[in-house]
Amino acid sequence: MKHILLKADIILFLCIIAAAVIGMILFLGGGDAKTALIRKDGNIVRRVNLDTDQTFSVDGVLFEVRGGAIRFKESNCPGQECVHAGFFKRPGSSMACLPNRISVTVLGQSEVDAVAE
Amino acid sequence: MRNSAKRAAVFGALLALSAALAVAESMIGALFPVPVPGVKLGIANIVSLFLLCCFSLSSALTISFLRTLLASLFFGGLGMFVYSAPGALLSTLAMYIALRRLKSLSIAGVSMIGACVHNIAQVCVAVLITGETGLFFYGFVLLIAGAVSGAVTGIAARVTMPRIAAALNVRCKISMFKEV
Repeated sequence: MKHILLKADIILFLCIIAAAVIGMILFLGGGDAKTALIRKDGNIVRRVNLDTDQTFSVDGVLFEVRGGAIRFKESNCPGQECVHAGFFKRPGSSMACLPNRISVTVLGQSEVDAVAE
Repeated sequence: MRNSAKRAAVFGALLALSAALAVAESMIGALFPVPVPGVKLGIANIVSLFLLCCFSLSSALTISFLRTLLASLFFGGLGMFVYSAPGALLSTLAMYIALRRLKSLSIAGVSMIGACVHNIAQVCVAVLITGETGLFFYGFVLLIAGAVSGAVTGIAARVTMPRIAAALNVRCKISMFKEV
């Protein structure tokens, strides 16, 4: 058994985890999310205020906004992976429903200003 | 392998095995849903590792391409094929390079590299399809998942590969038993 995992394997494992954690910390912004952008084929189709609880649908995908977070509530895609992903609220986080080519991304305050310009 | 009939039989059996592993994995996924999309064990990758160790890069690429095609026909349709084929091919290529160049890694480490490359390639395809660069964030999540699932799959490959080789009566060129 001791030859199954070598020292180099363990070092590689720790390096990957460390790189991923550092990347996530750098990528995710702090602060409160105010807005989410819904894109279809890369084009913005809807801008959603996360302060208002609501449910709406975009091309066969039902979104739900609750308590400052957004999720894919229902989708007509086969895998339902976007639905299982649950709620998103941190600025910078995003999720896509690939069969429908619809994505959602949560924006921080500074990004909201940049998009507005 | 000199005998082309044996060659066809062995590759056919390996393709069937990898497709069966992909189906088994989707059943496990249905029983224990993970809350993180795109995360799976990748046990079908055992066959790619086996082919890389015992045969050639081209055979591993061919079998993983055909396995992706079969799995797409079983579950998702052509859209899923476009989404998963680049990951399967790039991860096979990456494992080949790791097997040749990074001699200090065991099969588990090679498998970790394959899983991470596979997941990153999928995120890149997703970004290309949706035009949503924010999805790169998700790549970090899948990097961690790839390290874990790659290690598990690699250990499973290390344990099962000698048995697959014995069952198919083939002799391996490299090195998978190198550290024993």
